Amino acid sequence: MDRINVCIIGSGNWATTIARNVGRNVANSQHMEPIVYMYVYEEIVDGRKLTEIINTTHINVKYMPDFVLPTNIVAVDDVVKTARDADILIFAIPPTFVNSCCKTLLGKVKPTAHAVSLIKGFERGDDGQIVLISQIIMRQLKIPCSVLVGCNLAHEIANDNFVEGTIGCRDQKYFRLLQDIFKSATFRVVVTDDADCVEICSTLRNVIAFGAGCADGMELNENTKAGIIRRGFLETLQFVDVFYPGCRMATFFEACGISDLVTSCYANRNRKLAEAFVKTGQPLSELEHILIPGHEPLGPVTAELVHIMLEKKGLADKFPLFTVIYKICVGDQPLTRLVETLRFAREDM
Amino acid sequence: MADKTNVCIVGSGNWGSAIAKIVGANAAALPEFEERVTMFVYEELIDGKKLTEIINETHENVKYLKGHKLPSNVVAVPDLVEAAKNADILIFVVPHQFIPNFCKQLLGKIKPNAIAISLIKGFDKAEGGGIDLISHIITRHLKIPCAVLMGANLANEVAEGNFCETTIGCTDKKYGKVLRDLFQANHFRVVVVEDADAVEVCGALKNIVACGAGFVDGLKLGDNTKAAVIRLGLMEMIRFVDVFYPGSKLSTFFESCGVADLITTCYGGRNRRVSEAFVTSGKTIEELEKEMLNGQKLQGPPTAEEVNYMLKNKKLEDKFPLFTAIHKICTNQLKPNDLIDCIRNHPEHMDTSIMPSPKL
Repeated sequence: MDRINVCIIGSGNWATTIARNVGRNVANSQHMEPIVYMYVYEEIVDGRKLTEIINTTHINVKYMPDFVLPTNIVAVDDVVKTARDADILIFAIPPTFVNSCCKTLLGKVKPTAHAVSLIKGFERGDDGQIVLISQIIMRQLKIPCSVLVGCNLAHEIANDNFVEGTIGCRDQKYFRLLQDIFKSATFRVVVTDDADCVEICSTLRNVIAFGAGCADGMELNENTKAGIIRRGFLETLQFVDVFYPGCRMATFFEACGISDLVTSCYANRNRKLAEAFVKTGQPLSELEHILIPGHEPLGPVTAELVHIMLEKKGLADKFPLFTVIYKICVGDQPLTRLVETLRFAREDM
Repeated sequence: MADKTNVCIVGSGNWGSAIAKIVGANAAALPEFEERVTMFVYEELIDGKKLTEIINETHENVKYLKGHKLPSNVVAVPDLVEAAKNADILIFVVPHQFIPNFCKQLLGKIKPNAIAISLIKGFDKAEGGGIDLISHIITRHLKIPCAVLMGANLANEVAEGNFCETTIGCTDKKYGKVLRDLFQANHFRVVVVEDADAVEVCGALKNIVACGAGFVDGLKLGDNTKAAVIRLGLMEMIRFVDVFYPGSKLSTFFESCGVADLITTCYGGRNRRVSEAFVTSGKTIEELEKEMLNGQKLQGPPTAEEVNYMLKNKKLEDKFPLFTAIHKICTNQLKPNDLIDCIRNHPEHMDTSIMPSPKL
């Protein structure tokens, strides 16, 4: 029986972090090919190629300089070479590169391969709707695509802090395999077949985190913030029900739901951005560059796409929190509307 | 009964006084309620003056909610039976250890068709061990139905008029409306559910989880680990309710009494704060209670103990590794550092291990 071949596409800090788990796990498994190719976008660092540095020192000096990779992770500068023999393709690249990457890979990967997206974010569809990254990969590469979400701070996993993740995978026969590939003693993974729900949860939380940040900026108290988080949670449920029907409530209790939301609302960059937005009164576009250079804050743009989707169905008033957060982002409504919204939101959802 | 509904608040602490502001205002504004609301106040002398007199003259509970005016229709009464005898709705908001004694005094002295609502967070110890819900104790002693009100409601924030949400758990639908009308305010959103036991159990169990969150903070394990503890805590809360109070709905945990209260408690509450100090200072819980809480008791550790007793009895400790570990840490059977090792192989993470081996 052939061993299962795993590859990683991407070499940023998230990809590098997860590469350590993957490298160790395949090395310890009789079912898996011990060498894992990692596609690295070639750059010259201090006069040397990044792939060479990684393959000789096992350190990704550019993105994770304090972190040693297992020696069975082999950096490759060619994405087709990385992926062509793989049974499991792990995607961990910025969302903007997904389309071009898939185009390069089309027809070059095994037809039986299975993708796993670790990518946060989504694409803006032609009609302004959210297109999930897993859907893009599936459509373009014609292979199934699972998702791994639920851990939004790569450095905490790298530090071996105890962290939970959720894998959304529609095919039960991959459950155990995917769990075995990613897990570690400190990174606990639960697999569910509710894949769309897993992915959309981790997207919508950015909107809620933005709302929670607004509450922090206005110096509202803990109770009010908890009210925003709860209402956001309910609207997430309702949103999934309308746009991705068939999801299960239990999925919201997984790491991709409750834990991700909590971390986002207390620690994440959307929260920080929103807080500064309220306190300084500066436009979001300016604050983004100052506060979180190099990262696109997903809160405002997610709020916009969500709003477009809701308007199309005439449902904006059934999602008062999502709607008011969008309107605050674009300056259509004053901040005070945030609490007003909680006050009058309907409960009978 | 054409008569107006009489309301009595049993208790005048911080939370009791905060809620008296809302209840008093509603009783004055709504025609179905008798305007005069009695509040049982345990008599004490403040600077030589009786607390009931101070409250009735200045309309301020100078001892427990300084700086806030109570509505003038809230009348402080030092005699429990006197305060409660005409009431149709009895609001219980006293430390839980007083409940059995209060109920004994009230038995046979209250209207037989009165209803009670408990705002008390915590459990009592059942005879022979285990937990006894406060609402059950009230119902058993007074032979009247008892609803509960729980939520992400810090008393001072409610008194300030900051917006918050709360959950009323009331098994009998016909009381839902009157209770909502009595407590609902512009800044205090009430949702009524029928799952009363789940609402009440959430209010107590969250304090155990908050201790775990405090340990994580004290150990400086980071935000994701804390989120994991909160989530696993929620899963154990759900499972606990399922085992000991079966029949609850998952949606109840999405109410303010569930997720929202849990999160606030794990970020803001005193169980979290003291548990953090427990790790960083190395002092005992009792020492910290003296130093940080003026000797008031934390609810998390004793709740963890009672819960542990129940789990042990059913041989379920290993299905609730977080609750079990927190109890053992509070009682020095384990070090705070051991917390993560205890939840590493949580049953929640094991679901997929029954899947077949990875042959494709």
